[in-house]
Amino acid sequence: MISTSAQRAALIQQWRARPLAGSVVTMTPCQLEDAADLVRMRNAERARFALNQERPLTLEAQDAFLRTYLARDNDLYWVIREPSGRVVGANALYCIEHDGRVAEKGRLVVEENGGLGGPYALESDLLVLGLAFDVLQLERVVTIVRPENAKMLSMNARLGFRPCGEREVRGVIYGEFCLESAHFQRGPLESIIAHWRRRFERTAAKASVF
Amino acid sequence: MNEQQLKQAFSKALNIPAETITDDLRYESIAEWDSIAHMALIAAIDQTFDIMMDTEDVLDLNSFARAKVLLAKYDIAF
Repeated sequence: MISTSAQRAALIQQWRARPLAGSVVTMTPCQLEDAADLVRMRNAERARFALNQERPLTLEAQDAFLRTYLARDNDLYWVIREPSGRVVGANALYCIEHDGRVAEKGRLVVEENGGLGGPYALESDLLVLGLAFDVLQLERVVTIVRPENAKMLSMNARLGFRPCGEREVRGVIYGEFCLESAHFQRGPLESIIAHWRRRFERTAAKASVF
Repeated sequence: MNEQQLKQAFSKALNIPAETITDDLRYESIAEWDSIAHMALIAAIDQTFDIMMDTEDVLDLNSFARAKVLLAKYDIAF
């Protein structure tokens, strides 16, 4: 049981140095050397639209962002790795209030080619939300989605997020969605992950035979 | 029979009524076919037909009609 803000702040610092391991994906805390992968994924057309990123992101800008990120004490940012270790995406939990009331989930990108070849977005979201509610014991997680991003709206609804407002991001009105700890229903989604783990295991076993 | 089972798999994974599923149903045409639904759909197809679709087919499955073509590779006839 976390009883003080200092305890929560210390936990966040611990998770800055620990991977978040799932059944299929492993999420490793972002480091400066991840900048090139982040630039590659965030500059994909769909990601640029979803993130309302008018100009292509440069390596220098991403490096500068990561340096400010590393100096913050309320922000967890990961790259998502498939079983081979290759980076296939990124996800984050930030603006984590040390008093435990709320944090924001975002910066989710999954590479366009191959993004549907495994449960990378799904499992990374389950891992982030599990950390938020089970480990950091937050009451609520908020996320924002551009209204035209219908697939992300649908995904968030499946995770249990419900509309709770609007927010302007660089001149575009985004929908704001909230998930309360008590409404996080992961069971059916975890059974999908379990199936995909068996798929990856069978594929690996098949490859080792040949 | 197989077509009905495939419709049920789509219906359950995408959370849409089975009667709305036709050959015209495409990944781009419906918000409910998001990445979570795609993962659920592959799991449902694998389990329904007792197969394990190859990754290249998982990536290629972008419509109900395409699903039937791809499943023919696994000796499932429609």
